[in-house]
Amino acid sequence: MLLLRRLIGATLVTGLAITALPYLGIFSAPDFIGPFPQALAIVLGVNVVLTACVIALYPSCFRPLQRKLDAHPVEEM
Amino acid sequence: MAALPTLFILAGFVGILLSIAYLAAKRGGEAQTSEDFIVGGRAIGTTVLLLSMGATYFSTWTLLGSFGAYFREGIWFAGFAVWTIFHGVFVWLFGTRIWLAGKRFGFLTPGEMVEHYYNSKRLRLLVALVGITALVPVMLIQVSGGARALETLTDGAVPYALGVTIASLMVGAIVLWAGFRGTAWTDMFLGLFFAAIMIFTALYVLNLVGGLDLFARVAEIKPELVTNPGKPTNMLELWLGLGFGAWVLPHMWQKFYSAKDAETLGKVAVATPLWNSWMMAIIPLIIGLAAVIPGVVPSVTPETSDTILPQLFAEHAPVLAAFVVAGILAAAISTINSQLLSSASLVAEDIWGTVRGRSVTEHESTRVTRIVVAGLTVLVFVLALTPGGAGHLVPVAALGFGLGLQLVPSALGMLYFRKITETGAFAGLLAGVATLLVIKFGGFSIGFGPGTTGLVVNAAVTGLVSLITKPVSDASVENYHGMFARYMCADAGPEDTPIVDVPATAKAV
Repeated sequence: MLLLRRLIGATLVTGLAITALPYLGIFSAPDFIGPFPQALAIVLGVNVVLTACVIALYPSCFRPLQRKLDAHPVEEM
Repeated sequence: MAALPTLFILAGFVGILLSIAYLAAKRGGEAQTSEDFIVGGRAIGTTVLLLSMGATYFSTWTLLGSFGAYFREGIWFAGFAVWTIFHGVFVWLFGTRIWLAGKRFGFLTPGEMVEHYYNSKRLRLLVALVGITALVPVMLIQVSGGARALETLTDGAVPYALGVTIASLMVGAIVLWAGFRGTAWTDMFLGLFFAAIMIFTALYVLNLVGGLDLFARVAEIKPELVTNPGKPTNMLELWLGLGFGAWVLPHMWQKFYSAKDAETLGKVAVATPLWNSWMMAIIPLIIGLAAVIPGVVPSVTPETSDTILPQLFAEHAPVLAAFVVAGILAAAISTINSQLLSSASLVAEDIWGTVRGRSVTEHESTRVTRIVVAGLTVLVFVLALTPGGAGHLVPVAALGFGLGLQLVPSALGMLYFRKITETGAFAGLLAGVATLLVIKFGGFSIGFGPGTTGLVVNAAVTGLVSLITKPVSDASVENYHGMFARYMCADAGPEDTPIVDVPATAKAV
């Protein structure tokens, strides 16, 4: 689980860094990738990967937390 | 736009909202506790929480401004979509920790958590004041902006004063009558309503412009819109505001307190990218860029691009334009109601209690919150009707997210960085707000906008002062960082490992 979390974290950071590239003049040429302008294609492609990462947070983070809470409810004071 | 159908649809819309508020109030019962009234009894489920957070976060700006931003800036603005994906990550990184602490210690406002963790009334008061200063002018702008849009779009059939009255009455009635539950339930309806408008419009426009040929056609007309011109500092500013604003502003913070359980938060996190990014950020991209193509929105100019959506309907489907008008009202109300309830609870719990020098009782808290809700509604209503009243607050409202950003370092102290001290957080917050105001009203810039510059100064002062001042108590470190580590870290041991509770300090609320 720790490995999966680290993988998700690394992918999120990498994805964010890639989407910043068009703002720094990289991947911002007036070319098209399929029907999409290059800079937009980068954003949309990374968005798909980031969406998958967020979905993966559920089994890797929230489910284990809920199981811990079920076993040991947080003390209400 | 025909006046009679518009007024008829608006009346039906208001009737539905009142019915939902009535049902929510009935469900809540007569004797609502302050926990029921302010955070929905910590029993809000996935669908309601997801739609409520989405509808609250996306204001009239989404239904009006974001379309215009894509029309003027082109794909440069698509970075907006990336950062809204991170809202789902933030539910895990920040929201779950806020929820855990809120559940354990019974917090209703961010300020209560601040006082409990830092053992500081002055920091609680400052956080509450900054929170209210960030929220109230934004509420006013929502009311006045929505009413102005209604007046323009209906060619005066819904005059400005009537728009202000409808919005103020609806918001005040929903919040006073049904508290958090009424707010969340109406948000759900309002969110679905304007989501339906956006999806329908996107499909219609794609069909109109030949599907994904849209981008090639835009490239032929305005090639500069399909390349990214850079401006990284502008995007950084936008990212920070949109990103941190999704969790650190008081009305969003309290949404986390309201979640039923961790699984609810997990499902909300999973659905957030689909709602916040793919729908609320990508659909405006399609429609905003399509408006560049001749014939799609013939009347649009850069100056009128913030009303692309109503112009589109007026051109292609006038009979449906009244629904867009109702959608704009929906977007405004769904944002203001949460901000209103949150602002009132900050006054009742944080400011009233601190000024009185004692904790407020359940009954007193609910009563004061209701009185402040009524008072703030009247204040917003009167200011919105005052000639120029809203206009004077526009510069302050524009700073709303910037002010919200200044709450980040003190929040991160509670959630992640145990080395941040009370004195550091207090000095940092003061320095950040002062920097923001000086830069904004002093009229100079050092490369970044006021909010980001304030945050940098805030973080630096917080860090430096924390190095030389008294750390937070060991009990606070254990009660917060210890709890987060035991419940949330993947390497904290197997799930059946007993979680040892540490002696807690006295409850601060």
